[in-house]
Amino acid sequence: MAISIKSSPVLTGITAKRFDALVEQNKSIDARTLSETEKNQIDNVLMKSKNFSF
Amino acid sequence: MESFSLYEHCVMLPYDNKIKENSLPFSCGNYDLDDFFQNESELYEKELLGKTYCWITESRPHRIVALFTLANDSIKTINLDKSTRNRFNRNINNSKRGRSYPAALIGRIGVNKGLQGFNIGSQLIDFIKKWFRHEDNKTGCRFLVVDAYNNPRTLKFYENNNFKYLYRTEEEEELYFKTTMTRMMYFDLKK
Repeated sequence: MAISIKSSPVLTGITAKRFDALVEQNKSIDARTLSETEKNQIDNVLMKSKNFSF
Repeated sequence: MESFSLYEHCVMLPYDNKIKENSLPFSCGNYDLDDFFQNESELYEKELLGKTYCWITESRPHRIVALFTLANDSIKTINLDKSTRNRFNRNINNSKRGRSYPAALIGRIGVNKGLQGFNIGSQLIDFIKKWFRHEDNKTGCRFLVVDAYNNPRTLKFYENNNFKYLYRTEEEEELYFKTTMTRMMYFDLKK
């Protein structure tokens, strides 16, 4: 989940170090996006499905 | 043990009459599930209540390896008691906590009885998890939910696939759903 600086008053005037610390703290939230391999796997399934005919 | 890979040997298609006509008859060994896939899944689709997909072998004769039905759903925290609600809400970023979270319901799953024991059910669940995290997904969907038959084999299957019980106990669940025939389980797609 991205941290929106514009909409987040607590981040006004934030230092780069503090920002990096917050991103680090939030890393777990982004932990389960698909890896490139997983994405390719799903892409292949969808592609095979699209091209299939009896 | 010999292995069977859905990704390598099969293609996934929306399940319709054309599939039935071009594939060998399907049975997962459970009468209710077989009846649903044979006679009811089409009606569910027409009524926009559930969409059924199948994995069939690419090689001929085409065999239906597995079938599953999905529908939109949600987890409503108002249906949880306070401590369960608090426990559940720990999954969600504090600023985004609310009364309802989007979910996809795995309504039915059936694996061809001739191919059971090849880990196909888990491969299927793994695919669904990834499919709903794929960038082409049209809607926000945070959880997979399933109303699992309340028997040790089925519950163990979902536990092994990292699903958790929405309600801690049967008794607690019965207060809300008036039945212990099934157990509501969920998987957090963020994890």
